[in-house]
Amino acid sequence: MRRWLPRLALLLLALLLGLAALAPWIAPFDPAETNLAQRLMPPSTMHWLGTDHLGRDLLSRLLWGARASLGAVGAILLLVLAIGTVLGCLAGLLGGVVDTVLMRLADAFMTVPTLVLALFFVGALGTGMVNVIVAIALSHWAFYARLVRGLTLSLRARDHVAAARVAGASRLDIARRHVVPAVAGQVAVLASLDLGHWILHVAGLSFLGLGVAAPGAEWGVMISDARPFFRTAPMLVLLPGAAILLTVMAFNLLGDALRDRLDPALAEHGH
Amino acid sequence: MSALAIEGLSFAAGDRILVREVSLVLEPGRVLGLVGASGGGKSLTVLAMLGLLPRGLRQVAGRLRHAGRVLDAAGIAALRGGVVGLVQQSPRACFNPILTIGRHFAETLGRGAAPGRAAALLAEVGFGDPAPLLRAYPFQLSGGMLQRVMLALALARDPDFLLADEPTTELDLVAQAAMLDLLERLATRRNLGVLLVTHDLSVVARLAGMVAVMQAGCIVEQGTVAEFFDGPRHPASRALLRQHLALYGEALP
Amino acid sequence: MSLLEMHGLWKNYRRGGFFRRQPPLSVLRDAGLRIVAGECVALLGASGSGKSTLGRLLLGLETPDAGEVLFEGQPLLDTRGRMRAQTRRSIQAVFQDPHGATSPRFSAFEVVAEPLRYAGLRGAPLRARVEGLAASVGLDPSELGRLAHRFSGGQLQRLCIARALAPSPRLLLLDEAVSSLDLETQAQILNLLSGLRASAGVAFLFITHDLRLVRGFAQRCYVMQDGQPVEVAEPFGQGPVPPALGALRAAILPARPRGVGPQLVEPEVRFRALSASLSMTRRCC
Repeated sequence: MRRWLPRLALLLLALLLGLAALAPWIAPFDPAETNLAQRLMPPSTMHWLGTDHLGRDLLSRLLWGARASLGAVGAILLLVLAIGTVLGCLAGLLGGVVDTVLMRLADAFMTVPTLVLALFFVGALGTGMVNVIVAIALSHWAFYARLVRGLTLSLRARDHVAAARVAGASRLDIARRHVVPAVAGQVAVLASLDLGHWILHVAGLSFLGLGVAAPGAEWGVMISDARPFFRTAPMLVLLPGAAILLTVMAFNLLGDALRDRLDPALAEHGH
Repeated sequence: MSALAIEGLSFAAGDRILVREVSLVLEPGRVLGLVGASGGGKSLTVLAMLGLLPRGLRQVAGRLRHAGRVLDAAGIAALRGGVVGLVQQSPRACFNPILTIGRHFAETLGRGAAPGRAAALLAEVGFGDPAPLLRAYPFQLSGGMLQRVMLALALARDPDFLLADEPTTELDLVAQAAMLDLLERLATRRNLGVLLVTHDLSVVARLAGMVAVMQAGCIVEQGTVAEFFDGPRHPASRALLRQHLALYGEALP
Repeated sequence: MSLLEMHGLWKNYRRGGFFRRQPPLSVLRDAGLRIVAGECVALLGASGSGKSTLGRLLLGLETPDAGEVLFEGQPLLDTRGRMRAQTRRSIQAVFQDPHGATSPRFSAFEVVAEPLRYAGLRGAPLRARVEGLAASVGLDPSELGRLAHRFSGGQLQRLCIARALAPSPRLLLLDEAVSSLDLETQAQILNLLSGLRASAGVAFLFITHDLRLVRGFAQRCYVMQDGQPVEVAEPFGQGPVPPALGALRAAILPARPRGVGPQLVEPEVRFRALSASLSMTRRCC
């Protein structure tokens, strides 16, 4: 079981990412192109997965939706890791007032639920994917900052960091060469486990109408739009739902596999 | 007589033979020193005696005999704690940081233990006031104190033999002298058979009656301590003794 | 002028835990010592005597609660607690545990190159200097690509010594630098260090708890007594010595088992023999 799990996860992810990246070229139709004569058609040779209530090709919309969802998650990942790692390192290495201020800030952000934060942003800046991304990133950076801060504090006490200081390292050097490489592994594992969670957030916020505006293609929006047609054309809801499920599963498998590989107990036996 | 003996022990990692044909006898009330340079296989031999070889190493030959009977894997497992106690080099690694010392004793002694047994054991290893110690966590104790607690835990089930793997290497001179005095008292009072693994010959000179020299996985010399310090025969033994005596400003006899 | 001078140093640590709510522990009380350029000074003491704290103050890793540390006549740290780059390069250290003192991700090359990188050295000159340093501590330069933690304890400690010598320091702190090595490696490393001191003119502060190692290695000797280094002229001599040193001497294990060979003697006679050999080997330092 152990052996093919990571490979399956990587395969699945590669497939999803590939499809998302190549969407503009492989999607047979323009996802926004409506054709009321062809609405709610079942799968056929022309439309492999059928059409939705406005005659738009489902397959194309799913592909472009993948692009939107995965792109959003990628952006969130970068933002969360950047903010979390930098602030966590700062808090851990500088200590004192900086540490206190940053950690209280982290506390504040952690107590606000994602949805409320998203509503706040959307209310202030308007709807759109960018704001959704920022909102999700802002509600999650704090956890990573705390983690990185804790790891930084324990690393500071180690002799090899003391030796680096004696060798003339500035605090930036220590962060770059000693702290970040050491925390990268753990952070990567946690982030990969969070990715599935973030996809659900993105889809959820889009479902509520806060993200991609129509006629944009995104899985959450597709589910939302298809709600009235659930009984007559369930595939309109089930297909994007299945896509979300598949993606979340792939990310979770990846996270498990990464965690197993980087687990220190297992690593020791390998030495 | 209830001696503990290993005969012809050999084990390997993959194709590489790490320890070859090692035979040692531990008798109650006597201290056997096992010396040699680092990496010679001494610690692995101790682990093999308890059936605790790490993953990836397999025993190729040899037997463990207790009171004349040859032991199988189940028999060896039964020895642990009850007949044979273990004290290791790095005490901090052997304690669970989130459990108090008292909980560690509870784990070792089991459910039916008499209350106050833990305190009695701690008193035996030289703690005048054991009560606050039982409520303390490992991080609150110094290395020397933890080493004494580990000794108390090893003796908790009244074993007949004690395997001490570099018990004083991480202690400073003063703590080391105190620890060795304690070991001597306990060994005499409980008639323990002690296997003392060390790279420091002064520890052997202090405590052991017999000594075995291990080099590259083989026992190259065995005998009484008097014979060894008078004039060892094997080149590895002579090298060890020469370095040891150089610390005291003397030359080989 | 002394190379290093410390006086009036106080350092307290807050204590709690095992003994609830105690007043702060004074690890150093009005401590001071002096090192002259090129000499080898030993600082003896049991665990917890404050010798490592003194070492950390000397390295600028911590600041004292009172007192000052002067290097070449100048304060070690400026008013903002920072050290001048040149001073930083002049004071280096080798720590007790070579595995803990090196990052598990670094290759042997990276370990030695680290201080040189911070000084701005790159490319071919960096490589040449690192290989030269490795050779000077008895390591094969072609092995430098291996992961540092794959080396044995003794070899890793040699790497740490090479790293410490890379910035051409004037003072080298050896904080129990050989205590975790076996006998044979201990002797080799001490010989290596003596040789390097003679050729490079570096001063050493050798912190240790093992009195036996001081013989033939150090020229002057301090012992930590009640949080203060006390200079001892003859650590193995007949005269009165601070109680801390007396405890260390009494703790030295015998060279031979009782009842074997000529060592069945009183401690004083044994130490007379030791001091005789000490005065003979002193000139070799």
